[in-house]
Amino acid sequence: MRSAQTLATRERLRAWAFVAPALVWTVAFFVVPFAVMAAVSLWTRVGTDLVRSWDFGNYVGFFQKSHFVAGLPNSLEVTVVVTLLSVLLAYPLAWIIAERVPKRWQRLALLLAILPFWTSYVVRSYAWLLVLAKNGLVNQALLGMGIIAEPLELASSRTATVIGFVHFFVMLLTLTIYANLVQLSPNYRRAAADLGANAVQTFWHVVLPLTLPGIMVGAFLTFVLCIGDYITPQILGGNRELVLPQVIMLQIGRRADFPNAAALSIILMVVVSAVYVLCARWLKLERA
Amino acid sequence: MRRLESAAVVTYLALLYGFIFLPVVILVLFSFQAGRFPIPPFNGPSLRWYAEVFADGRLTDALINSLLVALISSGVACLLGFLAAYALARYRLPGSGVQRALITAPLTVSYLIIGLGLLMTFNMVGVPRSLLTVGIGHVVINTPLCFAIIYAQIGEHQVNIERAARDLGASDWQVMSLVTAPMLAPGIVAAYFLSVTFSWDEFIIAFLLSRFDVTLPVEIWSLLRSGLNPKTNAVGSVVFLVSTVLVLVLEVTVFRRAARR
Amino acid sequence: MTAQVEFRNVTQRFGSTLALDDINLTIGAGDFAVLLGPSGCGKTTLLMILGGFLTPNEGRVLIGDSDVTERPARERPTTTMFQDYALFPHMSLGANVGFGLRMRGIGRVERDARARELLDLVGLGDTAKRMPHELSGGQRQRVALARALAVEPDVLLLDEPLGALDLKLRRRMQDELKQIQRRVGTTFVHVTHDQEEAMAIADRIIVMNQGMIEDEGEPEAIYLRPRTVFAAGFMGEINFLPGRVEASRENQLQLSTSLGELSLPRSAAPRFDPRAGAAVQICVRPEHFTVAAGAGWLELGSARVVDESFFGTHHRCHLAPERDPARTLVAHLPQSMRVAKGDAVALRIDPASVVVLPAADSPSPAHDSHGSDEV
Repeated sequence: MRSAQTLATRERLRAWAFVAPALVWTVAFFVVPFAVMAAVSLWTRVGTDLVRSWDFGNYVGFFQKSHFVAGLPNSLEVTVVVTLLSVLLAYPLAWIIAERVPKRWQRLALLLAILPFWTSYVVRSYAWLLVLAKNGLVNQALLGMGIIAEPLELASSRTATVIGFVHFFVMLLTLTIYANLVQLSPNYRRAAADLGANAVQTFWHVVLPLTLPGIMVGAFLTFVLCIGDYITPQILGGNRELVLPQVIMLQIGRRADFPNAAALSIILMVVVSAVYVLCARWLKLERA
Repeated sequence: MRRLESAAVVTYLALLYGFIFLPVVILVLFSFQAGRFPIPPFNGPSLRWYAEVFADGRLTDALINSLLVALISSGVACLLGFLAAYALARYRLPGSGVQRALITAPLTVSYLIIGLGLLMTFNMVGVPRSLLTVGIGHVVINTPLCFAIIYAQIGEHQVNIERAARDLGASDWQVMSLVTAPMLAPGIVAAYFLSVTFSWDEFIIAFLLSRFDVTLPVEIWSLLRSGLNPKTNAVGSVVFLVSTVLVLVLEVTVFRRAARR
Repeated sequence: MTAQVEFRNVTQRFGSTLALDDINLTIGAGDFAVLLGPSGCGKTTLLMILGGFLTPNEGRVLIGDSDVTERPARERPTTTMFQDYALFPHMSLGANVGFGLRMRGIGRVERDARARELLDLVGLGDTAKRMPHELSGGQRQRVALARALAVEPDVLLLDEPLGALDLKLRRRMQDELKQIQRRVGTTFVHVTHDQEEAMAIADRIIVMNQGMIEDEGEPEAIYLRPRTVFAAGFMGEINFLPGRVEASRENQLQLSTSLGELSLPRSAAPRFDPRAGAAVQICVRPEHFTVAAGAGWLELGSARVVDESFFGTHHRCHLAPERDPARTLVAHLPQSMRVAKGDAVALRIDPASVVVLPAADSPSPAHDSHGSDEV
């Protein structure tokens, strides 16, 4: 009996030993920095000094400074538009690959659809700058075809930011929605057809509702990644209508105002958490 | 009716694939630009910008740095993730739900925030910014990924196979090295390569936590200061080519083998 | 509603495999027909062709008087009960059952009423508002049946629907399916590999193997008078005894076997015409051996009990006949008899129960003395 007990204890000890490194690392380099950031957000930068004032001054200041406050709605607007557009463009593409492309070519079709993932993220945004620049491809083509007389201000605008984001997220969502579609049992579609549904009815009543949870997860992922991104808006946004990550980085750059940056980061976190809770609740409702 | 649908399908595919590949095509095409500006008209082809890239010491250093950070930090992340996934999947520890949530938590937080938190913390304790700090940050973002992938692979059948091995006299170490690890190999390899991909391309944490020695994305960012330049095209094309080849090799070796099994 | 089903020269190939080889079959309106056979025999393929999920390479399919070969599933007067039920998980039971009616444009009130009617029919009265995940396997299956019947199809197709159920539940569902079929009168076409199930529910059984029909008819006819060696072996345990025709007269057959000379009535070989000198397989079911003496029984000498298991209703024994010790026969001896290993028993059979089949159609080793062990 004792040997069985010591075996069990030994096993348990080993289990703890295995989990420990990951736990320790997460606490040390994720949880602690969080706590630090929370603390710093309550301090103030006065001149070049960091004063541990322990007040909510930075948070209050957020709502008072116009270019700060604008950051949040800008972020939300861009993110919502990007999420909607990306889902609307990606779903048909994923559907076509899953349903209309012959099975042997599906993997290749999918791989092609996400191949540009493997250009560096920074480089991809830069490439869009090239395409949308005043003397870039799009403008030269439109001028050449006589559609416009003057080159359009496409790059360095919110439109360019949206295009850059949508480009990335259409690829991501095509992947996730495709995975979702192919794991749907073919018998559901057969049953619907068997009972008299045509292609549109089968899609509307059966395929769409059953893939909706998967779309929601993908949309949530898009939302989180988009709202926290600094690179694409910075390259393509043209320094107007800053989004929150850009505002945060501004605090760090010249002014080294960590307290403010921390406070803004926490505000961003709160927004994302709120959306997470909403999504989780919606998904639970769907399940029930 | 069916012909109308086929026409619509083909049109949509053409439009979307066109949209997806447009920037990549422009990028690669104008990396061979002979002139100074990577915009139409295209004069060339010329390899001068590629020559400049490979001659640029900072760029090649940054490339090596990226590789180092990616390969090493992914290895660490994989190890941490594997051990934790194995322990939590096979043994019933108290509070395992909380532990799982904690380990996967970084997945839901923006990299910007993770990077800022680490930056502030390192500042406070006086740790200087370097490739090491970048590596630490990358382990933070990749461990949850490795954990999740490997955890999902460990199933019930695993338990019985390990029991059978023990039954036949294998020691714990032998079970782990001869049975468990090989069985989970596809998952581990997939997790490793995914982590390498993320780390290799990651910008914001690398930007915040490095100083003099930088990774490739950070160096490319500096290049952007000089405006539209075919040299940037060339670097981007090289990165793209290398990554694509890696993915194709991976696809043919690892995934084909898994599919055949 | 109900209708007759007819397959004419239906052939189906998958790549280089011939799944169905020139199938000609008629199923009468209102029949409960069972397609029976081992996996890979083509029964499911035939069902898919009938349902409209597959168009045959060659041949025609007729339902009632119409040729439906080219028509897709949604235009056929058939509905299907799938093996995994395929209930729409995001719809309530009532919505599931009413789905087909909704596709026909029937209004909500009427749909709901009809759905309730059908849920009643399958014994799930008050459950219209519940969701599929709340039900057990057997219950889900009934909902699938209700959903398929709601649109009043001419033909109901069942694709191994009882496979996932435990034995007791399966027996109950078999009874219920039979009852419901009698009530609604629809033609049922049921696919299974379980020959006991086929015999329990079918009006007609169609035995298939490797894309061809081996035998068809009523359960009793197929069991007692199989047409081929495969059908004989598939329908249950059977003993194959090779023999030769010595003489063939108008109402008698004279055969020579390793167990002696047998004199059988001509009816023992209803499906073919044995010529003198032909090699045949003599088929005897284990339950047709008897140890009691009686008028007209054929004497086959004695046999030694090699081993014995008690099966409740009978003793299942392996016997080695004295006249052919290398051969093993399977026999079911009466429950009341005391049987032990090593005992000697007398082998007798009623000549009327023996079936003679051409030997050209030889059994594979697996069939010899076995029977329903194939899956």
